Amino acid sequence: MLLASDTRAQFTSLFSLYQWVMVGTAAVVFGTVLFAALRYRRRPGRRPSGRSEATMVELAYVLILVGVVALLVTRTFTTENRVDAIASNVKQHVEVTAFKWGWRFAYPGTGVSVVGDNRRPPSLHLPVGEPVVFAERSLDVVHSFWVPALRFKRDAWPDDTVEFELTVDRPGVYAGHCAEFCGLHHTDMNFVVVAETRDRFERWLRAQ
Amino acid sequence: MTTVALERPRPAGLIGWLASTDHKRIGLLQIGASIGFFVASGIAALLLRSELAAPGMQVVSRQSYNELFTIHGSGMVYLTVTPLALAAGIYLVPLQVGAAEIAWPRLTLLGFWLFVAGGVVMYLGFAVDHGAAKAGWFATYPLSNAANTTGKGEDMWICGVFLAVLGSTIQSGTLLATILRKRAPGMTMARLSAFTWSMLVTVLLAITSFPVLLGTMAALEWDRLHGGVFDGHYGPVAYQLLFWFYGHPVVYVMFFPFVGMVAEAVSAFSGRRFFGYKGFTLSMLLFAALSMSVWAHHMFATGRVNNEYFSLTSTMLIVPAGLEYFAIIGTMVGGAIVFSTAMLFAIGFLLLFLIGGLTGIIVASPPLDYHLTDSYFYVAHFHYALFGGSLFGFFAGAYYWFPKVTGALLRESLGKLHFVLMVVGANLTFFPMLILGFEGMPRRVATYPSRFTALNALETAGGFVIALGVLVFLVNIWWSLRHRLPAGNDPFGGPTLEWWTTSPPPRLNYDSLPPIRSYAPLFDLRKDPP
Repeated sequence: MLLASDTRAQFTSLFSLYQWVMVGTAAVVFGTVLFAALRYRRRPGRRPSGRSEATMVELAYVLILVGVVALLVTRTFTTENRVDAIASNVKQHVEVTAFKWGWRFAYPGTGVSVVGDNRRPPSLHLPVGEPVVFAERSLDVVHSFWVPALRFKRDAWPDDTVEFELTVDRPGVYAGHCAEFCGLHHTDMNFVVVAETRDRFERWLRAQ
Repeated sequence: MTTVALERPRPAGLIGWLASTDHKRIGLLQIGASIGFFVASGIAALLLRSELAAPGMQVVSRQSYNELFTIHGSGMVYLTVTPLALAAGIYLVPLQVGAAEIAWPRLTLLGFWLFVAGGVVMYLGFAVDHGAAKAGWFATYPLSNAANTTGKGEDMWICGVFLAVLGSTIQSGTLLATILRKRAPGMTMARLSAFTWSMLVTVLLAITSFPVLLGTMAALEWDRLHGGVFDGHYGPVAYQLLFWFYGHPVVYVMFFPFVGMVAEAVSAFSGRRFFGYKGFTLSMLLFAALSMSVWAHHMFATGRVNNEYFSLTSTMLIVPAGLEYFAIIGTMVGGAIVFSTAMLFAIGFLLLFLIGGLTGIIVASPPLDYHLTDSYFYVAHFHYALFGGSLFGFFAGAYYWFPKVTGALLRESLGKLHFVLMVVGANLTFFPMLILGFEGMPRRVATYPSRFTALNALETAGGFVIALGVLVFLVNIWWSLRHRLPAGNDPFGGPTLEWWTTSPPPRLNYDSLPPIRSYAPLFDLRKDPP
């Protein structure tokens, strides 16, 4: 059973469907173009066909395309509903504040917060295997919180707070970046996700 | 006895060109200027790729890097591909509909000069304090306000974008009027060529979406000067919605005309009537209608738009795109294909644009886009669409219509070299980007972790192969004009009306017109002479 907020698993499952549909389509189109190019190249005695439409074939083909759209959209919607959902009973919350050019990660109720900038990127400590709800905001321009390993990003806005829920499925250290261009030091607006067991996370929290 | 002045005498020399109201001259001027801006924006790209050849900062400063990618993107979108697409229409549409002139020729010329002025103003930003614009080609708010991006360069960028897009908007109007009101007797809407149909939907998109950008740029400049436009609650979202309401349709403005070119080249070099014409024209209209309703798919990761709606409309683009492939490949099947350079570029278009299109379907799915947007995957996606698609389509069109425009053929040997360099260069540059983006490299960064070095170095090499290819193309033009191989009226057995007249066509395009009984009047004529 996939956790809804395990964005990496949700992404991987949906991406594999898209990947195979795309690879299949590419194979069919490349194959048809190559076949047409070789089979119908100009040779002595070859007369081009006079036929200029094939309505029934085209209609059948449109139905196939509509079927593909329906399949992709259905899977996308069900996955998106899971990824976007925010449970009400999540106990771990983190406030993310983005600014030029760094991040502040605060743990409400504990008084703990970590700040870092483009010279010293901050660490975002998270417990693994459980959902964490993030409330994200920016102090200046639009930034974007991206953890490639979690296959997820969400923009940080100066005029409103956005919320999202993530679950890190295994312990480790993962790279994080600002993904929305935000000015001079955008390149270096990085952070590190440190995902650890609940016990270690609690110990880290107390040590702050 | 009365005398009728048929035509005012034309001023000779440079003035004759720069002030001409002949749509062919305006079209050629605009193609020349677009290629000029293409080379300039391409040099910016080479500087970016040189910086990215290795991790760390070697070639430019961080600020210059930001200026360069802003001007590269802006130069390509506002000053290269959009005006190039319209220029092709300005040259070809009056010919293809059998008109003597374009509607409102002076306005068309005004559009050209506005575009050139806009480009010059934008580029002059490099000469002022704080340098050129550096907030990216879509100038996200509040990054683009006066507090976050200082310097007149950004204001000059806004002014440049405004002028260039105003020029494009005006020209779209003159093209629309030409198609609707200037058609020759017998040239019904259902007999328009594939290219003219593609221009019709292009200008419909342009005149409905471009004015929104004009308003947005005016509002942004007001905000930079006085504040108070986009800085309240929801203001930054409103800016993005307004920008992308232009910013997505423009992608299709930069794409449709080149599909039309490919359709015509494939028809001519397959030696047969364009297949599935009805489906193709309907798909164009469906494409245009849908592409007006997909704009917020650029905003899936914002958390502030209705992702499902925009995901649905974006994924539905599969249907018209699929129909276009059906028509073009259907024309090849059953044909007698000549592998001219134009045909090779058309095939290159079909295969490379496919990668752009398929990756586009992937990023049309919000849960996938959450990871891939603003990464190098996305950079690869739109370069496959705009470079592998639009520019390959343009080159197909260039080799196909060059003889009509100049009366001389382009060299096939240099053309094939050009083609090979382009295919190798494009894939070497853009394919590794798909992998890098998936692995976590954000776009618009000046350096990267060392594990990304090998793929980045490969991309940089690819960029220079592309540059060599473009050089071969320019040499081919120069050589072919210097040592002319006369083309005659119709060197390739073209299906459409323009192949009836001389190459180059006379000032008023036609001394006579053949009967027009279908969308391929010259095929009809060959098959069944009157």
